[in-house]
Amino acid sequence: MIVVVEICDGPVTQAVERGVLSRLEQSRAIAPSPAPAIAVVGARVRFDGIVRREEPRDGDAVGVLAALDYSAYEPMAQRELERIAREVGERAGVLAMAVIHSRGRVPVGETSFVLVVESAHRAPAVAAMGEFIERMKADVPIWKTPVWAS
Amino acid sequence: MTVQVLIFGAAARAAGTDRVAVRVMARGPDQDTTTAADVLKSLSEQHASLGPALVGARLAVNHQFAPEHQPIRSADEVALISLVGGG
Repeated sequence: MIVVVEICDGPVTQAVERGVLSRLEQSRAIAPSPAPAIAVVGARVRFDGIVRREEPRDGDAVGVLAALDYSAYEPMAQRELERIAREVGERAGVLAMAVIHSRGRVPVGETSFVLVVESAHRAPAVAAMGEFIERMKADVPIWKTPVWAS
Repeated sequence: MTVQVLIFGAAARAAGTDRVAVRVMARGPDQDTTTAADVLKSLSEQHASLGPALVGARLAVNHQFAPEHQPIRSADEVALISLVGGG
């Protein structure tokens, strides 16, 4: 299977995403048995993680965010994202996974995480997406710090 | 022996730094070996400000999670991986 991972500065922009998906296509083209996506991919699921305005603050209270600051321990964060994507993807039987995660400041309303999973059929891609996110949140050394609006 | 430990996120904010030094009992013939469990124990004893960050925390040695009995030498890169929260 194909795994492409990028940790980018700031929000995940369309330009960053285009670059990552372009790398995915390049990897597909040089795979041992290259096949055009149209011949094998029957399902593509996508998750966007977006910084929301309200977060718990001081126990039960709700605070208003301006942004989240993400810090990553690199290169371990990159390696863990790749390792988890490969483990989860191979077990589920997916064809490709593309992961993009932010480092640095991401304002409210902007995207900090994108996951794209491709498989021949729907079920493997849907299952892999949920499992990958759970494992990422447990094992990938990326931390977020709230930047409160006031 | 002394082990330098990188810290991140809330742990770094609590300690006011991105790395701390811990003194641990040296083992082995070269007196330059300890274990991940000993480093975690020494962190809690010597750096009280890290207390909350040590709950559920693990060590990474040279960018890989370390089981508690994994040997650590003073030249290794050691990082405290407190509860993470990407996404």
